[in-house]
Amino acid sequence: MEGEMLKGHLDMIVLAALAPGPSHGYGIIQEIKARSRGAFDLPEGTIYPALHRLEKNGLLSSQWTTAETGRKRRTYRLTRRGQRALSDHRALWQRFADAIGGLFGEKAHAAGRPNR
Amino acid sequence: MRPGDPIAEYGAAIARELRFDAGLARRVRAEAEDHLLEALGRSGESGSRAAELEAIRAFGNPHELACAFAPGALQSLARRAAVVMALAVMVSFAAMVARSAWYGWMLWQANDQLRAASAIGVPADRVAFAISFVFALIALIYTMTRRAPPCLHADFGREIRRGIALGAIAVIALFAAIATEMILTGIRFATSEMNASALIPASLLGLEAMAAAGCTAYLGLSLRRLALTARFAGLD
Repeated sequence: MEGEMLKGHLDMIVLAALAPGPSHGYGIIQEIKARSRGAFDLPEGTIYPALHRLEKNGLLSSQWTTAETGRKRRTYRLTRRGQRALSDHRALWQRFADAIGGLFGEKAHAAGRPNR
Repeated sequence: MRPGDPIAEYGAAIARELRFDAGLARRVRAEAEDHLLEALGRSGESGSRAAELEAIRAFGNPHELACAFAPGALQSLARRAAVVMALAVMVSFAAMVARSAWYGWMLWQANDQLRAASAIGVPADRVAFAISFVFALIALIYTMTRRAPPCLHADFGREIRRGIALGAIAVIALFAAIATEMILTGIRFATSEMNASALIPASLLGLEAMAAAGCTAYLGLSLRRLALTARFAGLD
């Protein structure tokens, strides 16, 4: 998928990837890849500025935890504001997708008409 | 760091690129190194140099990564400067109120010379302090309501500069208020019989001056970091 298009929706994608529960950067990128069936393949570091930005805007919270390997790890979770923002994004996206689907549907319908 | 360790070298490269914010550099470096080690661990190829280089390639270019952090760094910089300034104004206000209360409590009467100076000095002090308070408040609201964009652009750089300029006006007005208070306090001390009780208002005035000086130093530091970040992100 086009990188610029993905970047424009990165905040929503990250929020959605955190909806199942708290996770760390690597876990979030794997969740994004798995749930998009590999369609969203950004440079992995790209999500960190988004995570920091969302945290600054109060949509995520984070804390250092210790991984099983003993390494220090930053774990992110959705805040209440983040959950609300995700719901808003979801509703907006649904309306947008329905509208675009309608447009494409009309086009497909018109294309299927016999030439006069 | 083992010699020639690509992950550690990559972490160091990220920290170098993020030198405009030391705290952010430490955090992002730690997160990136954890990410890369986790990726290698999951792939079962820990220790393979080729796998390390592939994980680093997948993570992305350190300079591009640092550029993506620049808007957030600028936002934090401006917000911290606005908070420091608002605190300086509050400390000065508290010290000013405490000093006035002390004069009242000690029944420290104003003589004719002080009354004459106060006729001009007190309104000037109040106006300067009110300007300082209003601009500090506007700067705080302005910087707190800015949202860092995903990509740094000139408009956001201008917004940050505007926030710092509002703060600078507040600090200048605060200095004017403190200078007026210093003159009035100097006249009060010069025309009164001095005793140990004068140490209290003198200390409170010193506290005000320190708050303003600290705030100025912090604003100066913020401006230097702003210039460094803007230069790094090509906004000059």
